[in-house]
Amino acid sequence: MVKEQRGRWQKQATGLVSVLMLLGLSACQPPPQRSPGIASKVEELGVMLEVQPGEIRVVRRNNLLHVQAEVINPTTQDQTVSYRFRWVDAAGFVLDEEAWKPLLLHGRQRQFLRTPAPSPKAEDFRLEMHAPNNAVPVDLSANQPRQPWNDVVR
Amino acid sequence: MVQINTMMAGRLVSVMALALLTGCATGSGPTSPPMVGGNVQYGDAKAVETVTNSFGSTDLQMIAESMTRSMLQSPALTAGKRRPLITVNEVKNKTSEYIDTRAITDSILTQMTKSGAVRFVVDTADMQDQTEELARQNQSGLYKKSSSKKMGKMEGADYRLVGSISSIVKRSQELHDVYYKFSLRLTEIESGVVEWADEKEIRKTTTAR
Repeated sequence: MVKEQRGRWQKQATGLVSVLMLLGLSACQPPPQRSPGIASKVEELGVMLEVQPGEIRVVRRNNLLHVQAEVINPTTQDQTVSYRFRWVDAAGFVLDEEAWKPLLLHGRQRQFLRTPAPSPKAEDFRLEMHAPNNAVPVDLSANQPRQPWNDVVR
Repeated sequence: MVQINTMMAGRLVSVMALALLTGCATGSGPTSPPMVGGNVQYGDAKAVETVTNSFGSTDLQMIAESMTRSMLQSPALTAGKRRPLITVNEVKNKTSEYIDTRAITDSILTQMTKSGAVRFVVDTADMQDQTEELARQNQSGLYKKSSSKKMGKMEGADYRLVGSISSIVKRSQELHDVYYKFSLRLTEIESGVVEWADEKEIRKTTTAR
């Protein structure tokens, strides 16, 4: 009976230590570096550690701005992010607010978010991204050295 | 004479003070506190909603946005010089749950109208109100003839929008999986040709804990 209890405690303690180590590791993990072009277009609500915004292409077709943004999951696990585009007119005014959309990325998957602007008035855009399960708050990452994404790939 | 002037000045000061006080007062009195209490919180209406896996606000918003953006790329709507006229027909709910499909088509109509690419004409659901208003203006004898809108001037739609939403539900002990498929078609009324069609698929899975 005592042995059983001791074993259970040991298991619980080991679990707790692993969780704490995992938390500590993820806190120490340097936030990824974004290229200036992508950084100017992507607004992250916290810095995403597991999902990476990739190449962004913009073209005007039929008087509408078309955007294609690549989103990469360099990890082997499935990742979920939410995103939405924010469209801006020539005067810098934000057009109607879009709904947040969920996106599931399988391990090692690249996906393309493709959309035309909602109106010919749209002259510019920002891609807002939010990964609640794998993002660190912006203020924590502000003073830490940034590493290229290749170093984070596991 | 001086006494009368002093009295009048005193009255003026009282009236002004009263006016200032009433100007500052709120509707329910200056001491009324804000209505607080309970667990009410305002949330983000555009946030991803994952409360249950039945049809929700995020599904409605994603469908409306996806359909609108796709339709805006259709050459049938963008090629001509004149903005085409569209009427919204029914979107059939073929799922096993209650879905207000009118809310989806209303969102599509709003977003398409805001884009400036198309115009919408009165659909069958609104036709009763439209004809009643025209009849009131023309037949009640209450309106000036010069300002009342004439009968027989309504414009016919070039296209009609029709669609459906269906679902496949799978359940096991651990999983509850719902797959939604929303389809929309734009048909030219005169020729009957389908000029544009698109689908939006959504999968929602919940696991038992």
